[in-house]
Amino acid sequence: MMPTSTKGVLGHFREPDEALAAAAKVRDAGWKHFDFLTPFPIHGMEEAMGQRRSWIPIATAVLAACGILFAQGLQNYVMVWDWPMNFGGKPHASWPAFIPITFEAMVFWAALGTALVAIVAGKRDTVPQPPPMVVETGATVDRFVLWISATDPKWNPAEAETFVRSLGAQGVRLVDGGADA
Amino acid sequence: MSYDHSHPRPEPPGRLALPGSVQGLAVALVLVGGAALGWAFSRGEAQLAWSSYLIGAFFALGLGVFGAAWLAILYLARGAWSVTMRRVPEAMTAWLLPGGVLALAAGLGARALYHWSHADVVAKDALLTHKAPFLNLTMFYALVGASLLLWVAFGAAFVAVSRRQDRDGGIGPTRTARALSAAFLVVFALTISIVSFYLLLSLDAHWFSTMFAVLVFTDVVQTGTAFVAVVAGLLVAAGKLRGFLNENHLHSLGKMVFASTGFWAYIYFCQHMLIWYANLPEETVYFLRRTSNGWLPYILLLPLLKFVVPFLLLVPREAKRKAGRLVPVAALIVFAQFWELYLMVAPAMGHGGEAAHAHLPLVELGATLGFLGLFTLVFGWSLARHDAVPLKDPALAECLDYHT
Repeated sequence: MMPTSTKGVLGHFREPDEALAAAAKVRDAGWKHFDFLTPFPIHGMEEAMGQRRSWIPIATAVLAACGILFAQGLQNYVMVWDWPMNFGGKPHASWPAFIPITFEAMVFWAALGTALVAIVAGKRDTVPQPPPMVVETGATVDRFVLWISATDPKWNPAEAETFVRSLGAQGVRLVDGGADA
Repeated sequence: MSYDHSHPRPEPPGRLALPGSVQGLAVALVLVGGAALGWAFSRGEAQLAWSSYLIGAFFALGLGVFGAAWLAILYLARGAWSVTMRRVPEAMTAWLLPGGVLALAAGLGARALYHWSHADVVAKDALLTHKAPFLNLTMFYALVGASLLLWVAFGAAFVAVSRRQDRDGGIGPTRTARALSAAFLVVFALTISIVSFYLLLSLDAHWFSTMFAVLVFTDVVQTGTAFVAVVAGLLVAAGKLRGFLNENHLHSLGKMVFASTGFWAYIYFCQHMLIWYANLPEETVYFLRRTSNGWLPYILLLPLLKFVVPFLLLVPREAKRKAGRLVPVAALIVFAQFWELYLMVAPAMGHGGEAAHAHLPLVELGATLGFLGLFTLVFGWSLARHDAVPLKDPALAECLDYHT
C-alpha cells in the first residue's frame, strides 16, 4: 500500500435497488471500509453491506438491569432502612409501591444510556475515515452514494476507481485530502 | 419508494385451506367441548356449566373481534408490513356472527351466572337495586346485542372493502377502509366496554374497576396477536405463502405480541396497585376472593403465564423471527388467556356470601377448547374462500420488500 493523500473514492447510484446490488458486490469483493449515504434507510442494506448485528441492544439490557437494581436499592434504602415511615399501615417494604419507580428508572437508564452508548459506538464503529462533508449534490435527495475509504486494507486508488465504475456507479471520482473535506 | 419494478413478483399462492389434520383436531376439540359442557349440565351443575360456557364463548369472541380491531389498527397505522397476512384477521372476523350469537346466549344462563338477575336478591340489596337500571336482562340483551351487531357489521364491511380491492385494485378501497377503521376504533372502544362490563365485570356485581375495559382490550390484543402469530408462523414453517411471508413479517408480528405482553402487565398491575393502595373494602373484595379459598396459586400463576415467561422468551431477536420459536410462545399466550378468563369468572361463582373454591379447570378448559375448535373451523372456512394474499393492494410491493 502506497502512502497517499487520497481519502477515498465516491460514486453514486440513482436507484435504491442498484445501491443494494452494489453494496453486496462491494462486500463480496472483500472491501471493509465502505459506507453508503442514502436519503432514506434502505430495507436490507445491513445484510447487503455485510454488517454484523449491533451489540447496542445488549448494552440496553444491561443498563435496564442496572436501572432496576438502582431503583430497588434506592427505595429499599430510603423507605425501609434509612427513614421508615408509616403509609396507611402498609409494610415499609411494599413491593407494589416500588414497581412504578422501578419501571421508570429502568426505562430512564435504558433509554438515556442507549443514546449515550449509541453516540460513543457511532464514533467508534463507523468507517475509519468518513467521506468529506460535501460529497454529492443530491445525496440527501435522490442519490445513493457509495464511499470506499482509503483506509481499507485493499486500498489502491486506481483499482478502487475502476471497481466502483464497474458497479455501474455514476460520477465516480477520487477525493483528495484537501479538496472539499 | 418505488422499487417494485425490479422485483419479479412471486407466484400467486392461490387459496389457503386448513390441513386435514388441523380440521380433524378442531372437530375433536368441538366434541371435547360438547362432552365437557354436556357432562356438567347432566350433573345439574348449572354454575359450572354456564361459567365454562362463558369462558369459552368470551375466549373465542375476543379472537373474532380482534380480527376487526386489528384490521382497523393496521389500516390507520398504514402497516404495509402486514398486507400479505391480512387474510388472517379478515378470516377471524367470520366468527363474529356465530360467535356473537353464542356469546349472547350466555344470557340464557344468567340465573346461574349473574346474581343481579335474581329479583329477590336485588330487592334485598341496596347496591344492586341502585345498579338495576343498567344491570337487568333487557338491557343485557339490548346493549350486548347491539354491540355485537356493530362488530358483525364492521367486520363484514372490512372484508367487503378488501374484496372490492381484490376485484378492482387501486387506492380507493384502502381509503374507504381507513375511514371505516377510524369509525370502528371509536365504536370498538365503547362496545368492548359494554360487552366486557355485562359478560365479565357484572359477575362481581358489587365490584367495579375503571381499568376493567382496558384490561379486556389488552387481553383481546395480546391473545389476538398471538393467535395471528401462531397462524402466520405455521404458514411460514409449512412453506406456504413463500415469497409473500417471511421472517421479517414474523418479526414485526412478534414485536406486536411482545409489546402487548408488556402492556398487559402494565394494565393488570395498574388495576391491582390502585386497589391495593386505596385499600377500600368494596374494591379489595375482588382480589380477596381470588387469593383465598385455594385461588392463590392459580392467580400467582397468571402473571407467569401471561407476562414473565412469554416476555423473557420473546426478548431475543431470533425468538420473533423463527417460526419454531415464535409459535410455541404465542400458543402459551393463547392458553394464558384461558387462564385469565378462568380467574375472572370462576371465583365469582360463589355469589353473595359463600365463596367459590378453587378447582382444576377441567370442564372450563374442555369448553374453551370446544369453542377454539369451532372458531378454527369457521376461521378455516373463511380463509379458504378468498385468495391467500391481497394481490392488488397498492402497498403489496412495499410489504414484499419489508426488512426489519
